[in-house]
Parts: sequence; C-alpha cells; structure tokens
Amino acid sequence: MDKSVSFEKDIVPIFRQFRDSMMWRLDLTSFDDVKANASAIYGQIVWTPGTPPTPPTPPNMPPPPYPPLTQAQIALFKAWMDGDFPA
Amino acid sequence: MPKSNWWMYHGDQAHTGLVTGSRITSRNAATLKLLHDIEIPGPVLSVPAVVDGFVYVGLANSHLAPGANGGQFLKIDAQTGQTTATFEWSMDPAEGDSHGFMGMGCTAAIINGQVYFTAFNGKIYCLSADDLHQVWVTDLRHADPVHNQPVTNVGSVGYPPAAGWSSPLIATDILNGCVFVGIGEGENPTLFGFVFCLDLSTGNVNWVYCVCPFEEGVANQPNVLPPAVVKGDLAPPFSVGPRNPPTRGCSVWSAIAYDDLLGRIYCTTGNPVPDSTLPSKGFSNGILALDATSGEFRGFFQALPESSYRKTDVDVDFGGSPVLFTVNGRRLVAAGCKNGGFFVLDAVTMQLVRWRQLLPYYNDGTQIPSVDPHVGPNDLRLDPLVPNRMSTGEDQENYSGTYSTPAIYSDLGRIYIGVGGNNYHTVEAGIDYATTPFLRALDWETLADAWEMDSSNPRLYVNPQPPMYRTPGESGLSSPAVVNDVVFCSTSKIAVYAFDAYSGKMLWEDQLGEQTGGFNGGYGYCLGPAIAGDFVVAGALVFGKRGGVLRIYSLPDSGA
Repeated sequence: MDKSVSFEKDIVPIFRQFRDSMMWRLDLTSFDDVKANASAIYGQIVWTPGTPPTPPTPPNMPPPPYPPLTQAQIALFKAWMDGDFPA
Repeated sequence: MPKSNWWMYHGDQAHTGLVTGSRITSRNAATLKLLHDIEIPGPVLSVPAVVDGFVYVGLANSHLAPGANGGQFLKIDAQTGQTTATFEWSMDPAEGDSHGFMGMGCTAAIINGQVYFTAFNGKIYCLSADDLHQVWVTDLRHADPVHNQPVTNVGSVGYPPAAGWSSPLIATDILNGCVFVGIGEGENPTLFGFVFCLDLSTGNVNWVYCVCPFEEGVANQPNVLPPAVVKGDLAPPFSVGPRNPPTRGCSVWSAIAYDDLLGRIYCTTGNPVPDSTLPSKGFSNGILALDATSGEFRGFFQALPESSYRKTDVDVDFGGSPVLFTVNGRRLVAAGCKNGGFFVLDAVTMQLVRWRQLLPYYNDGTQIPSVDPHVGPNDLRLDPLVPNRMSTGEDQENYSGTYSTPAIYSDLGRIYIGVGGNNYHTVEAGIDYATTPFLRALDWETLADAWEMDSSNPRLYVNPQPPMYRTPGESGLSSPAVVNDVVFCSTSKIAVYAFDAYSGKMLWEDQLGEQTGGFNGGYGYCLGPAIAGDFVVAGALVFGKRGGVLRIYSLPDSGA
C-alpha cells in the first residue's frame, strides 16, 4: 500500500477543476465525499479495456469538454484507494 | 392572496397542470418578482408541491448526508422563505440509481396532513405534513412483509436496482384511501416493472400489478408475481405466476393519473428489455389502464410504429405522465412519447382518437436530417448533421422526442407540451433547437399548432421568438403549467418562462443557473414550475453552488 499518496496533496489538485461541475452529486474536494464514493468515482474515470483492434472505451468522467484523466492520474487515485485513503 | 394548492404531481389527479385560484394573468406576469432564492444542500430534480402556503420539495442528492449519499425533504414557508422542517435519509452508494442520484426525483403528494413521496432507494415514505416526522415507510424494492409487500425486485448484481421515480397518486374515494406508484428501472436487464396500490393510512399493499406479461399478448392478473421476485411462500391475495415473464423492463417512470368517474388509473410505460423498434413486446412504450380498486387490466395502447420520427428509433419510453380531460363530453387520456409521438385516446375504450408527431418536418413532409439524427457513440458534435439515410439505417435512441406531461387549458381548448429530450448523452443535445420549439401549443381537437407559424421551411412559431429557436441545446424536458391565460414552462438552459397562452408571446423569464457535467455528459434540469395562488416555485439541478437552486416568485402586491 502506497501511504505516500495523500488526498490533500495528490487527489484534490486533480479533482479541483471538476468540483463545480460535479457539485450536484458530491464535493470532489471533500475527503469524506470522495472516500465514501471512491469505488464509483474510479469506475467512472477508468478506461474500459478493448480487445485489439478495438480501442479502449473512453471513461464517462470527467465530463466533456474536459479530456480524460491521464493514466498516471488514474493510477494515483487507485494508489490512494489501495493505501486506505490517507488524508 | 387567493388560495389554491399544487398538492400532487401536475396539480391534480388528472395531471392537467391547470391552476385555479391565482391572480397571475398575461397582464401582470411580467411583474413577477423573485421572493426568495433559497439555499439548499443539493439539486432539485422534481417539481415541488405547494400546499397552504408551504413548499414541499425533495433533493436528488444531499450534501448533508454522509458522503453526500442520501436525500433530504424540506418544508419551506413560501412567504418567509424559512425552512420549517426537514427529513433526511442515507443510502449505500452502490444502491443509487444509474445516474448517481441518491435522494428523490418525484413530486410529493400532500393530503389530510400527510406527505407522500417515493425515493431512489425504492421506498415510499409517509410523513406528517406538520413537522415531517415519519408516519410509515414501505420498501418497494425488497419484500416488506410488515406492509404486505411480497416483491423483491433487485435483479442482477452490478446493475441499478428498482427505484422510485413515480410521483405518488392519491385517491381518497376508494378502499379507504389509496396511494399509487410505479416502481422499476430501465437500465437493469433483469428487473420487472410494477404498479403498487397501497393503503393511505398504513402503507400496506392493497394490490400489485406486474407490467411485464407472463404470456405475450395476454393481460396479467393483479397480484400474480414473477417467481424471480418471490422468496418463500405467499399469502393470499398474492400468487406466483407460471414462469418469469420473458420481457423485462416496461417500467412506470412517471406519475399515474386517476379518473374517479371511471374508477381507473392510467400509467405510461417505458421500454422493454430486450428493447426493439416499435412494435415492442410487453406492456411497453404505451399507456396502461387498470381498475383502481382491484388492479384488473382495463386496456393498453402502444405507440404506433409509424409514429416514430424514424422507424429505427428505439428506447422510446413514455417519460411524461398521462393527462385526462374532456372534450365535447368525451373523456380522453393523452400522453407523449420519446419517439416524438403525441397520442389522444378514448379513456373508456383506450382506442386511438388522434395522434401527431411533435418533432418538425420540412414543409414537403420529409424528415429534417438534424432532427433525431442517429450518430455514432463517439460523435460529440452538438446538433450533428447526418444524412437521413444514415439515421434511418441504424437503430438508436430518439433523444429529441418528449418527456413532458401536457397541460390543459380548457377555456381555449389547447394543450401545451414540452419538446426535446435529455442533454446528458454526449452523442446528442436532445433537441434541434433551430427547427424545434421547446414548447408546443396544440388545438385539443385537431392537435394542429395553435400559435401562429411563419412560412419558413420548416415552419416556426412567430411570437415565442425569442427565446425559442435561439439557444443551442435548449429543450423542454419539463412539464408546463397553465394559470389563467399564461402558460409557464422551464427548459434545460436552465430557465423558466411565462408565455401568453393565446399568442405565444414571452411575458417573463428567469435564468436559474447553468448546465453542468454528469456521468454521461451534460446535466441541467428544471422539470417545471409549481404554481399555487400567486406563488410560482421552481427548483433545478445546476452548475456550482451545491448543485441546486430553489426559487419562489410572486406578484409584487401579494403581501410579501
């Protein structure tokens, strides 16, 4: 488990730009909200694998016009989840 | 101030959307002022109720719930804007609806000092209207033996379970008082749609009707249940059917309407699973009539295959509610479909009287390529222009039809209905705004457009410009309301408008907020204003804030 990843240092900077867009559902800069919905969020930001030559399906989130998160950002979020959600 | 109440969905049991006891007219609508802009801890995805000077409204999500996973119901003094009582509930995030909603999305019904509403957790609540303390709650997703409720309708793991979107219908004149709701889910391929009739006082189930037929073309009997939803033995009046119905879905999403003289309820239904173009299997994509007392089948009408804007339209639910009205002594029931069709039936025989397509055609009768275009899932263009031959060659959802419950203006003999679909699909905006009005005014006998049209190709309404035909993506996914000679409607802009019901001229408008992002694309809704007396109340799901806005308007001399 990667305990070096923290919500305030690593996750909030990724999510802050989407905060107002997603306030109808939750506060993406709130530790409690993101922790409580981490699995659902991960399911929305991750690319769905495709079997070649079919390419992977883009994730639902972030919503257009934002581009999908990078693989590094997705991996960071996964590491935060696997690290037991360090604050 | 004159007193009138918006006490259930679309104002009454027939869902006419017609307001009485108000001083708002075309002469003073422009003077409507904002009385209160109320801070609420989440979005509104429903039309509020207004009874005896109080606004009753639920939130689709509440930031006050742990992890923002839950809902809240509020009672607000319309004159002061003060919240006088609240009721909260929490949900497991895995139990929410397919769009991430955890609270509620229906209009509450308020009668005899009690409040009734359904929630996305599949439960129907009865609260005290005074302080919102819980009187009873019945689980319609899982069996609830205490309330004589035998159905467990959760389907396959990984898909959203049955949820309550249907606004409660109240009928006090049968079986000691009843509340009717539909329960189901359209995105879960293994769920069934049901109509429940519960006792108003106890929440106990009087009868339940499965909307998915056990045998295609044969009406189900009430209280006969699919084996898949039953655990253990059943006590009368319930019994297990011979097999699981081959067709799933057919959910009743919207509010059920009631005709007390006929003793019937009318339910609009959603798409079946597996889905298809019309005709579709089961009691899907149509209007179902049941005996209100017994739940026995009385008739069913399905949208005509030729009524789809394109023959390849699929997923053509009826998202709005049926409306009942009388023309020349004949009782009629009408509803609009996602395929763009609008249907008027004889409420007794369920035979089609008249229908029309709400989406526009060119003046020579040909389809407009930018209306209901069928494009690929990765096409992110707004109002994409693809040739007709491409759209008619590929099955796809019609995102541009109607989800609206029509409003009836008897004095003028007119019907008003919102046009345009949801804006959350990234593949389409839900309306071809340059050719399609977000609100249509129809003659109730001919269904012809009742507002003056120009001679362009296609023909456009003259007087409602602006705001019509101006804003990309602005659709009428909402239900209009008529008060005296004014018709109110809201749009996905997100705006609320008042139009002269006779001419279509815009009299008043307010911008509630901006569209926002969602799991599938853009969100942004105001599902329609509620009007009671001189109060106009509108809630919305918007960008920023805490996702929600709730505004109360009134005439300037209403004592505020």
